[in-house]
Amino acid sequence: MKRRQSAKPAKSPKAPAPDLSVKVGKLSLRNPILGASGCVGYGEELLEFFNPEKIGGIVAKSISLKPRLGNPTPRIVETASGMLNSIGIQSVGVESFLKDHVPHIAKYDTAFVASIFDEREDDYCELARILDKEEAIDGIEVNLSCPNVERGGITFGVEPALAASLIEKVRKATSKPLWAKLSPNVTDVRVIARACVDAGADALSLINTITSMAIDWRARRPILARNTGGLSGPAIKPVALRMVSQVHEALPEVPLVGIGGIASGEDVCEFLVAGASAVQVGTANYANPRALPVLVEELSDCLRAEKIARAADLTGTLRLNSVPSAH
Amino acid sequence: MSVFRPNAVLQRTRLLSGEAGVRGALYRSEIRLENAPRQVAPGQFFMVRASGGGSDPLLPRALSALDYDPRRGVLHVCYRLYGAGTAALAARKPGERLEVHGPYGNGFDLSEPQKKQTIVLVGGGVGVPPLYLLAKELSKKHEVLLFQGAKAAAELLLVPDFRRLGVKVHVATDDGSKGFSGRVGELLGEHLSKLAALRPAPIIYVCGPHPMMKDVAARSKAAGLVCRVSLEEKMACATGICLGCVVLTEKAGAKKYVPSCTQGPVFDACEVVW
Repeated sequence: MKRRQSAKPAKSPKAPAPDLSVKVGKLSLRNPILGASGCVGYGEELLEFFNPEKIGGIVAKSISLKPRLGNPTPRIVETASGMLNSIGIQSVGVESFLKDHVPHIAKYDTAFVASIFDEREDDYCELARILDKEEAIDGIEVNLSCPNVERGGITFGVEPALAASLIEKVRKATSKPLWAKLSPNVTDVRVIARACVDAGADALSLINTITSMAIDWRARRPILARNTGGLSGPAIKPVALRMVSQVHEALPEVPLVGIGGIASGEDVCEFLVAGASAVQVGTANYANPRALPVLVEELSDCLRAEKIARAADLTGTLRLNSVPSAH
Repeated sequence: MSVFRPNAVLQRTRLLSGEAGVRGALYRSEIRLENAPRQVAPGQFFMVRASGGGSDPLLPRALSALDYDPRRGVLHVCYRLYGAGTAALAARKPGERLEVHGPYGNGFDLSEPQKKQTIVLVGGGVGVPPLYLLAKELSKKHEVLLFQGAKAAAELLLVPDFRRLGVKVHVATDDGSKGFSGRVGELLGEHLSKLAALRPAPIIYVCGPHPMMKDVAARSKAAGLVCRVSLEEKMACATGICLGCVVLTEKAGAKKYVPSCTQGPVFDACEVVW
């Protein structure tokens, strides 16, 4: 099989390094590349592979009020250009998170966003109140969209009224930047997006994983213990780009954080053009624990090759084709 | 352009059993690593991907070191063709590049065996290779016995290599085509009372299919012997972040899922909830 040739842009020694700094609402980032929640642990796990000050920041794995065991195994399976997971928010609980884990990453000058998940509105609010007091936490992402637990999570993320009610209450519990992480498992992502923004979300992260199934036909069984899981990886990038573009078109003033199958600097540029101010990278960290800093380099190379001075200048520059009505 | 940068070269691949390219075939490969680690502990593993730079297969496969030559930076692995990841690896030609990172995992604790303690290895299928590297270390100072199980004689692995280390090899095959006819746990069971009477009592190290490890763990516990298992779980990241490869453990009555990549793959068999 012929090796796929990568279109590496030629580096011009004269071109100055592009300015990668971006803002997501009030939150300033060194560059637009963040580790995605659930795919970078609590941040500390990756410290042996790179300095987190090279990347935009970390969105920690979702934390619940009390510790959660998580789902039975098998929890993961690879599929074409992607993988399914059904981890089920295995969580150490917020107390241990703050005491045993956050201090390791708080030493570094990099954005640290906590992700919160629980089963009831009150639990989300309590989490937000606790995290609001922590200087090390630069923002809170509300996980409205975990597809792998029975209660909480996705039930909030697929019902606009529930999403709005939850965000409104969490908003009152914290003055930190508040991001809502949206599910792709909805008919129209713009409806939920608008509901979250109207309820007080500062930014929207999209997309979470797509509910999916893998089957062992010989055994006549789904491969995952909980039957279904969330699809991630390059397979979902086109779905994510479509949704980011749709939400940006509907809500052009709202900062978006693009997520879904990013595995190269070119992918980052595509999300920025579609309307994202920053991106989160998840599954790519599994294939290569140094993926995040490599992506920062690749993004810089892409911008330099196209003589784009600032990464932020790319955001929302997509020009949609005018679509003639069907004859 | 992609974040995946191949950093290893496939030197050669040999088909050990089965039909080339067909599910179930067993292969042995030698891979030369750039930035080769100074040493690799028995039981540690590497993440190996043969994607040619594309996104399929997406994830590397966790392969235990069968042997490692630190001078030349050559890693030996053994794997069974099972799905897309191993099929892609088996299809690579010598000289082609691979993405490899590691080593990962705790490996076997080589300081655990006491002086004059007999070492009992129990292996099956692709669980046998990491026991070879373990035998290579421990046979220098200890008497080592291997109980190996396989479906049939053709699938027995590395038997002459173990014998060259001075290891006493006992084999069991499901179809009776070689050695004991039946499961390797049953074969071990026939020797267990004699082994348990040795002083110091032997340590049992197991690596193989889950039912085999469960069986051997139960037999070791009943005989009052220390048993260490190297578990084989599906892994995505190897760095403890994805929590896909977790193993349910129980310590002091508290059950917990722990990542087998960072806290394993070697566990005290008594702590695993079988």
